[in-house]
Amino acid sequence: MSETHIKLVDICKRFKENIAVDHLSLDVEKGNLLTILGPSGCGKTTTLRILAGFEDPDEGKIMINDQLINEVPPHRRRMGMVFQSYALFPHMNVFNNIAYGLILRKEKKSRIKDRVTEVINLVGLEGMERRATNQLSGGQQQRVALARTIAIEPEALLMDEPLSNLDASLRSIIRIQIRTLQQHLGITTIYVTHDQEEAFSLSDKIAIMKGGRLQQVDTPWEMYHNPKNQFVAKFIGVINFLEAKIETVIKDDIILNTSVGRLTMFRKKGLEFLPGKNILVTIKSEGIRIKKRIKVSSSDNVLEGKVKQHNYTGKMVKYWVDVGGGITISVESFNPEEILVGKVNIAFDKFCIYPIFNKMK
Amino acid sequence: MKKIKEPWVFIFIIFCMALFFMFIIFPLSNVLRISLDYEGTTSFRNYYEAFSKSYYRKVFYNSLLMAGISMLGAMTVGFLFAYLVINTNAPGKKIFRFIAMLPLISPPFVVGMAFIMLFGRRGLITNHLLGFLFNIYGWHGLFFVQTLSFFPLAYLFISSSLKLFDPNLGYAAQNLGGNRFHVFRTIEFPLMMPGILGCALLISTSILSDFGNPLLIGGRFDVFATSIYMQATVLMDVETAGVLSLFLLVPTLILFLIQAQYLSKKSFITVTGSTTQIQLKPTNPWVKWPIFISCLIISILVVLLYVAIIVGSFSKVWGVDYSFTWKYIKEAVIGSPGRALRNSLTFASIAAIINSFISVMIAYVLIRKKFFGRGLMDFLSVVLFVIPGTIMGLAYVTTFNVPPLVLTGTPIIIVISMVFRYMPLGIRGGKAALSQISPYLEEASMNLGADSILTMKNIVFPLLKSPFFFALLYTFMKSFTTLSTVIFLVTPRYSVASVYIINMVESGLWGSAAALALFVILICSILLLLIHVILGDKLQLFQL
Repeated sequence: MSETHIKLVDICKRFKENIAVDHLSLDVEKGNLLTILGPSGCGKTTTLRILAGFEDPDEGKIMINDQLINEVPPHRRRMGMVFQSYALFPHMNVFNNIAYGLILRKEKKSRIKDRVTEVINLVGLEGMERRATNQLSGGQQQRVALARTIAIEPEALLMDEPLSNLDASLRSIIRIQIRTLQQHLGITTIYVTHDQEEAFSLSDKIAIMKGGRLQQVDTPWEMYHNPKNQFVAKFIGVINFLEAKIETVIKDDIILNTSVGRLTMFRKKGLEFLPGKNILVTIKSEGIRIKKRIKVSSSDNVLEGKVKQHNYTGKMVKYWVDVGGGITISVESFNPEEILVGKVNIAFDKFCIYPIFNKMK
Repeated sequence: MKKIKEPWVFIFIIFCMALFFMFIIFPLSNVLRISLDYEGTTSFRNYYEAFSKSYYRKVFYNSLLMAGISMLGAMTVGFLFAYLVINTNAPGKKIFRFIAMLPLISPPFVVGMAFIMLFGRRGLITNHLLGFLFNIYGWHGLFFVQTLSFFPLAYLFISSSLKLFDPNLGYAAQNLGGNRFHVFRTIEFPLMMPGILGCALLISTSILSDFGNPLLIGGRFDVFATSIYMQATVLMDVETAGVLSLFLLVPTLILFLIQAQYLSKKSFITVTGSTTQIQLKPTNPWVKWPIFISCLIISILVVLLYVAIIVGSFSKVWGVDYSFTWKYIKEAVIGSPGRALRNSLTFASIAAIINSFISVMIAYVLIRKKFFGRGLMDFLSVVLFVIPGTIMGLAYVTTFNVPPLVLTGTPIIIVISMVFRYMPLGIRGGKAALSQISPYLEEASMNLGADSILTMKNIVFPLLKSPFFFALLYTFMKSFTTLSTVIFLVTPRYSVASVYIINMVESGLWGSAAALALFVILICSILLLLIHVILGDKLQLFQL
């Protein structure tokens, strides 16, 4: 079992009237990549800047390897930061940018040269040493920023939306490279983003924040399958929400009473379901089948509805189906044979419904 | 912005505050105190007496009248040149552009001096070529000279407005159904007006506080700047000089504050920022050719001014004997005018070096740090530039000739006056450059292990190199040619070129004056070229 490397305890940070970080506690294990995910203004970048020492928390403790570092100035923290805008020094070439931290550490010239060459190879920028930073593409600049930071062998890596200035296709390539490099170096990393896809594909763990408060910390799998509240569910891309009352529990099946009729949900382990209780459930839109007519089988929930709107993207058709009772269910139909209009049936098995527990309230 | 933790920043701020207090607030409040001092008691008697004399009321009207009409003249000429160069296909556009910037190579009083050489009592044109006596001394002569001296500023501003104006905005408005006049009224006019008004106010304040030309050409047409000087130095009535200073300061500050607080915020000119030149429609020849001819006449006049100075430097006795001589040029190198020139160079160099260091550092703390008194420091550093030099001169000479700090008669006070007078230029350049530099660069440097001093040395200073050199060269040029403040502070031993030129013009020593002016012009031209090389096309900085 890996040990806790970075620990935030009850961190608070106010900017005048605004509370940017509100009693945040977070543990990051050694060698892990933790993503802080949240909408803009949720306090994720402030948290990162507190770790780097650019902001002082009003309250709380910052610990590395069980040592309090609140009073350590930024230049002695060795928390390597990769900035959103890269912050490459415009008056230095690639080599000098990467060597900057090593020169400050008064390393020998030969050692600096070896180390710079090593990290340049690591990020795949061979032959670019003498280039000016403004002669590089966005992706290359991003890699110089990363190389400059890992060159000093920091205690941990802090990345502030490092891919947000790149175009979509490059983003998905570089994020795999970042993950590979991070695992190769085994460096503890805290990664800030507002992009849930990025967070899911990169992280050992995800921490979701809203309004300065931590909502949930979990592995990507747990986060998706067991969101703790509606905000988290919505933020990670869940669309269909239904209010339901637990009618009965038969073995592993839970019979729910909803405004669109009776539905069956599979019982999740470790959770308690009491008949008569009101809960919020979600139906994963990618698990729903849609057809003109569907034969009813015992394990399926089948609803009748009318297509309100559709959106064809090539790979799939996304439908918004009015199932009565004021409820619209979104359905993602992959590999479509045709585009349906008018009256339809939608069906989903009991494993596609999940309960959401609002533990934050 | 972060609260200050570094002791050196703290010390620097305290140091600057002390300097600002000592050399701006204290001397200016001293002028106020003197103006309120009536035979040992504090009262408004001096104000009352000044108001009750028709002479001072006239000075007040004269000053405002001259600032107003000369500004209109300068704006009109500036607009004609800008329109011709930017918006028409007239021949010789490059030459017109050069001529429109030419007067920038010399301080305003050189234009005034050359004007007298051409049109004065023994003027080359009026006396020798046309053969009639024409009195240029008075409001009309001053109006011409100020128009010629200040139209380059108007040209620079208006031409950059015209250039930056995105023609697509006009096309978009036409596309939406506006006719040509309607588009001008609703799009182009409202977008360009605030900026142009701002420029007009800036020129008005410059004319209002100009000292050299009213002294040379004004004749009996007294304005504040000359009147303050006469009261303080000839009539030895510092109380009245103080009263007049406040009369001058108030309208100057009002004009400036309107410009800074209101108009600069309403200027939209760079919003689109597009400099794409769309093919211009040919201008109506009935518009183009009259503008061309007007600009041609003015251009010939401008060129003649400089020809007069060159010819004057090599002529035995201007107005009488135009035969060739090296005498005045030699004098300007090794004679007593030469000593004034060397003094100017020395004082301006020292002032420029001190100035560029301090002003770039002040710009840094103003942009990046949060501290008590930052607002005041920011305000002072801007407003300082529009305080007329005459007032600062009076303030220094009255404050530092008595203990606790006796500095009058020494070169130190001359250098100090230069440092503070042109500090706003460096601060403004530094602030503009710093706001372009991301604060994340400094954070990145710290993140990689540099403390704040190393970050300053490795990141901030190298990136501020060009504003630093701009401050160095430009404040050098300005200090080198400054007149209004130093004329109060110089002594025969520590005279400077600008004061020397004025004295010689007043004694009718045209050859010596012209030769010295020629050196001043040459040095300024070299500096402007250097600035141009270093800063490329960022000449809009001259607008300040």
